[in-house]
Amino acid sequence: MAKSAIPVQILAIVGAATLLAGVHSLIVPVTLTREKTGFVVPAGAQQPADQSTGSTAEAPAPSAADPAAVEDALAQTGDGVGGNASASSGDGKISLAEATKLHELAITGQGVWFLDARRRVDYDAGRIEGALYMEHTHISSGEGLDELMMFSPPEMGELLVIYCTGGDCQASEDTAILLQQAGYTNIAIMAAGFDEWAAAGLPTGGPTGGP
Amino acid sequence: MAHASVPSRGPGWIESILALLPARLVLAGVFGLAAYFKLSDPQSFAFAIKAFEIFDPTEQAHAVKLLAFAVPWTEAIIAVLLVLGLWSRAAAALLTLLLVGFTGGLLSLIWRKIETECACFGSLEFGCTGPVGLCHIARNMGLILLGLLVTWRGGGRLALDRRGDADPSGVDSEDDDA
Repeated sequence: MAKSAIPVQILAIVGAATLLAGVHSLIVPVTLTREKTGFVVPAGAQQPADQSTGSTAEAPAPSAADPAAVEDALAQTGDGVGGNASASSGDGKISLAEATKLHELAITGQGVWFLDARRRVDYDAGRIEGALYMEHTHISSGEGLDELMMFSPPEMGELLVIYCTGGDCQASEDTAILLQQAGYTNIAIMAAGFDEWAAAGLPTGGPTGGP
Repeated sequence: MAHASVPSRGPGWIESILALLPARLVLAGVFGLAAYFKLSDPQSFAFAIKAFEIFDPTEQAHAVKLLAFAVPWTEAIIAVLLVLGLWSRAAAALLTLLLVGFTGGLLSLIWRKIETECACFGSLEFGCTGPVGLCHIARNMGLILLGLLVTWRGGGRLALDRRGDADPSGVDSEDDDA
């Protein structure tokens, strides 16, 4: 074989791969950006049929959401959503103060769920109390979605609050994209991440605290 | 015309069995698995590429999507070629180029102090865990060395590249063509 054939062979490999990639991308579309619609206060949510198993954390039992409670809670924060959760800032991001109020609703089972988009090892080391592990790889494997569907199917319209480490971390956005693809539309992202939450002395779960 | 730097003799049986075949199989195994994991979850690999913050996910989404599919398919084809020992030098050369590119991306992450996971081999950690660090660079350097070895010496005697080479003298007609 002549060495001059090597560049031609390399081009042939790249060409074949590009062709296969093109066909594959038509079959399996990928999404990189989230539809930023803001979030709404869930109303009239139903109790799920089965919530007995499968959670990676002991999640609070969901119940009918109380929109007034959420709005009242957010009104007290005085920033961001500004007292009306159904008219959030458009990109669906909430501050630490707003998340704190929503967390009170989450742990009392009022139609709000906290989802941890960080790596499994980080989640195991410590998380927001009651948060479910929901890294994007956990969703795309099907496991995470099954778990979430069991607690809060999309048709219930409950509010999902997603967080990651904080700052510019992309994990929350990635998880939100996959959840939107799965039919969840009521999503808020806690701009302040877990680090800020824990530093503020707010309730945590895992080795350092409760569920 | 003969080139002084190019060896006139190809790899012998010992070199083929002890060095080139293992090198080919290791590279093929690692990148075959990497391709499998990436192709079975292209969305996660697209997120991993996005996390490198080299491309703008809004303006250059097409580039991220193209890479999310083209890279694992390239790896898959290379893995098959290396197992068979077909077009071994081209496959290893392309793999080495890919690895150099990956390593450059990893170095840029370290330089920019961006803490993200490698996802170099899909969900396969392959020796290095946690955010991108020097372990990932060292691992890639090892794989680059294997790639360079196969690029330089070819697939060896246990490769389909050698089909039809029945010369018992051990003279490598592959190199003689150069």
